[in-house]
Amino acid sequence: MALILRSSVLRRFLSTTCRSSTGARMDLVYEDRTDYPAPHVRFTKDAELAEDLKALRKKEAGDWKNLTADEKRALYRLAFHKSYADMKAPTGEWKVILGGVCFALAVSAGIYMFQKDYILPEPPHTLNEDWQAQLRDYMIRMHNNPIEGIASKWDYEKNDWKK
Amino acid sequence: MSIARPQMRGLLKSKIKRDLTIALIAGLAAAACVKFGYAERKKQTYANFYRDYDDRKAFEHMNSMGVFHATRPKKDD
Repeated sequence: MALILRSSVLRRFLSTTCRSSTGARMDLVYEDRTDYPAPHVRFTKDAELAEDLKALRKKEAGDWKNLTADEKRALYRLAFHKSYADMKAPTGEWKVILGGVCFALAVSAGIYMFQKDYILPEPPHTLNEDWQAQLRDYMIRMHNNPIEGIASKWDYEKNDWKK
Repeated sequence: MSIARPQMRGLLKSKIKRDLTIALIAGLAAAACVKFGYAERKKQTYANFYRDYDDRKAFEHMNSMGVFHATRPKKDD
């Protein structure tokens, strides 16, 4: 098995066909992704740089101890568009989302109110105030749910709700 | 400009340890809340109700208000 894996033909085959979901695209375009730290492509191409930046790239080929901190930062920005801090920075998208959700809720509330006033049929007669009051009275008289329910909230001596 | 060296290995193991302790504690706390805040409280309510409950008296009371179909309130003639 190890001999097969060492064969260069198989490794070339594996490297072209078995790629991660970002692998094929990462060969062509630069992308800032927190889970793919070093894209295959640099952010700026060497051919498009100004002269002083080209000189800086040549200097990068040498010993990095000769680079100042500012030059290192400039080289970083040539190779990468956003730093991790930039990528993870808050975007304020939550405000848009919250606004959209509130708007959708308002629209549905408006539809509901219109529906209630103009579209719905008459409610059933058992939902009248009179019927409901008589129902409450009936439930208290028959000691409905005397432990935790409605009759438990009624004081039978004083003939009134418990305070 | 030097920060502490971040943890390089065993990240899944440390994450599991942390998450597991939090889950255990949260689970035990939730169970304790349910047991004492809901279950024991309800048992006490029922115990208190039935300690002094006279079912005959309750029946007479309900009957006097006329809710039963099989019996009628006693007429005081």
